[in-house]
Amino acid sequence: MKKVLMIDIKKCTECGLCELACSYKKEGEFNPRKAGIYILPKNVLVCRHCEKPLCAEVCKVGAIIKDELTGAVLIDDQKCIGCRACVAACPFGGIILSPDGKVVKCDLCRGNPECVKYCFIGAIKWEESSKVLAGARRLHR
Amino acid sequence: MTNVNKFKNRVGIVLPYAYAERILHVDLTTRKYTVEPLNLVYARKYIGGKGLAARYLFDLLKPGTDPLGPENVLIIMTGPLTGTLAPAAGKYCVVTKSPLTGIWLDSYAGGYFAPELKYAGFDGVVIFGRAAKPTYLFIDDGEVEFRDAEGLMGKTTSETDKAVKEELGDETIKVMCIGPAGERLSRIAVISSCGRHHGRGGAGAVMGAKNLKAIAVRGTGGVTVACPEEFLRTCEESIKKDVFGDPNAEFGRSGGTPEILMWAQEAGCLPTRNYSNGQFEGASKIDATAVLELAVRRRACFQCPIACSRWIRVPSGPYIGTEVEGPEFETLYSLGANCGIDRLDAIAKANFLCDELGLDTISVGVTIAWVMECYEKGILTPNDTGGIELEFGNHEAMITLIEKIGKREGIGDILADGVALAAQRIGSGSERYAVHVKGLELPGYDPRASPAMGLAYATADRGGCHLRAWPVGVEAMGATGSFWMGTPIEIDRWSPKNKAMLVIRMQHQYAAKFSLIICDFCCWNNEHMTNLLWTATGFNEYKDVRMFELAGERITNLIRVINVLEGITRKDDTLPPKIFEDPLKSGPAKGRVLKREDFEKMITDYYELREWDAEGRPILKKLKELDMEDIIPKITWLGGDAR
Repeated sequence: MKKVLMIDIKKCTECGLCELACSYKKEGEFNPRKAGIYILPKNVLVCRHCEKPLCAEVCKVGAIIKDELTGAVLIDDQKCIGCRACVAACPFGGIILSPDGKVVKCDLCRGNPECVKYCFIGAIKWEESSKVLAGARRLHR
Repeated sequence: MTNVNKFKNRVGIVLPYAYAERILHVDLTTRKYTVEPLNLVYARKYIGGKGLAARYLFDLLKPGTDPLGPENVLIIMTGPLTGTLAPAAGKYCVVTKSPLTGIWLDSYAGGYFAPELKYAGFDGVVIFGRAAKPTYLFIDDGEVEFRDAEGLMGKTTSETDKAVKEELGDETIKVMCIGPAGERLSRIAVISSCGRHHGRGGAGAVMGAKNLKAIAVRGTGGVTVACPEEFLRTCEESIKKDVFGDPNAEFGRSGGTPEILMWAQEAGCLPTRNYSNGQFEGASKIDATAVLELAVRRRACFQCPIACSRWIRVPSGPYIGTEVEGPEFETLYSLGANCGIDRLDAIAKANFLCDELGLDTISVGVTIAWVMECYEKGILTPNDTGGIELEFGNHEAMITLIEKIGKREGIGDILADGVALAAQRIGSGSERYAVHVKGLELPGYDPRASPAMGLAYATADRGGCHLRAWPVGVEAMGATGSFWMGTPIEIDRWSPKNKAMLVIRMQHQYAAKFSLIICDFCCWNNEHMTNLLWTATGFNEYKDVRMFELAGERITNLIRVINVLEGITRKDDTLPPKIFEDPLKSGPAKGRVLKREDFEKMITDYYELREWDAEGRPILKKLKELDMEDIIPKITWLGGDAR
């Protein structure tokens, strides 16, 4: 069963622990602007790992691929030329431009997302897609 | 020199750890700024936040300075844990000479400003002088811009926040600002930041006097720590043990500070009708259950897993649609029970007005309660109040009065500088009913039902404050466990015995804690805190928990020195007359006052244990013991043996 990252923005307390945990794991420093997830008041910017990623479509060098195993949309650093076309193409603001001009994006931590570990309020969940579906059905009943 | 120190202090690593290692100095008079290296000797000894700012203030502030003059210094300081994963450490403090008390002031706020300042590359900001015209600062990753704030004048705190972000074109910018009350130099004005407030002591008026409407900051840098693996492990452990594993931290998540209201009610220490009683018959209408019923969402400060604050919305009645973050316990006490008001909707509206105008809810509530008592006693008449009927429980009158205070209209002008000055202006015996210590209005725990709390108020560094020691929990509310802040001390609730020891221990912990800065709502374990400190900074001496406690003692002594230099003596370490003379009318402390002889015993014990002299002044031996030789030349009372 495939697992997906689900975010309930109504629960979010804007504590930013997800940003800190992410940037620390990826970049070795605490810096929300270098994290793959960014919290705004009542909004969160993070890659949705789309089934049909628009970012991959606009990438001229084929640096963005969809990992079939984890479902993650990944950027191949070796291929990426840093044109930032993907940043503009993402309708969710999920690809983040770090202060040093680098493109930063969630890679689901190879199937063990650090942000989920630090979301104590339970706004970010790493769930099997069947559970998400059940939750959505309950919500819309 | 700094670099040499850095190499020496930190094992083989050159990158700055935990600290940004830079302090921004801003002179508003000349519109110039300089970036100074952080004094690492100070940082090692005084940690950050409260302690570090105290050390800087000691160097920069001349005793006797007018708090509202250009010579006063406003220091904004973060701590070594700010901006990291350490739980509940996203707060910062402002330190200055208080216009309300004329002595030391430190005041804390959470929100999102502190980490942003650190990410912008500064541990702190020191502000001198006075701008010729309304100004706001924009700190953008190490660059500082002095911007015109003419268009912001008169705006409320949330309006200012919004306008600054719009003008700078970035909603991720963090803003600290003052409201109309601060502009009008109200001595009970707050500094607001991201919906949180540096509440006590009138720091807002200091900003107002400097013609500084706001400070905006954007930071894109990061924070690294000295021992990454240990630090991460310590953070995880602290979150597990101090936030989720400690029953005493539970209230933050369940109902937030409003939970305290019922504890205080049951202990009979909930000040009611201007400290006339210790129990409020309407308490159940304004308790945590009532607040949670109206709650619409929770919000956390940055890097905080607790998320204690609730936004509430008033669903009906005359104040329909009022939305406010809070009210917190102290507001429920001061604008509720203490004014005899049992309507949560009215308290919410009053809270909202205070936030927007930029006023401290405790000081406003206590001042209004005092007006109400003076009105009922006939000291004030409708003639004085501009026709407002100011009986206890009149919520409409309270709301009107808050608006008048914020705008300094009519009687509001007299009240806008807090209860001590208001009583002095009105006279006619009204001073007898003013509830404050050193000019700072008392918070919501009655010392007649908790003698140790009386000692805590009397000896708190910034005046009548509950956040320098909180003995009421273990003394009167039946709290146990980590609230002892160490091994339990044998105490009897009504006896003065051992109370000084309890208060001193708590004061040391809070002083060190507020230097890290960790929030007072979690982590009452010195070992956990000192582990966070050394793993973040690499200051290995803090592997020994005694060094951490010693730092707390050093900071407390330094601030006492600052206060004594401002003229504080034993006679100032006292409580309002009501506490000694008017017995409580109900609850477990029914019929009780705090006996003067008991209080004097506690104070004497306290000075002796602290090894201060009979006037409450730190002595040479103590200062040397605490490794504070560098401050001795400026201390006047040490006499010949000091030099």
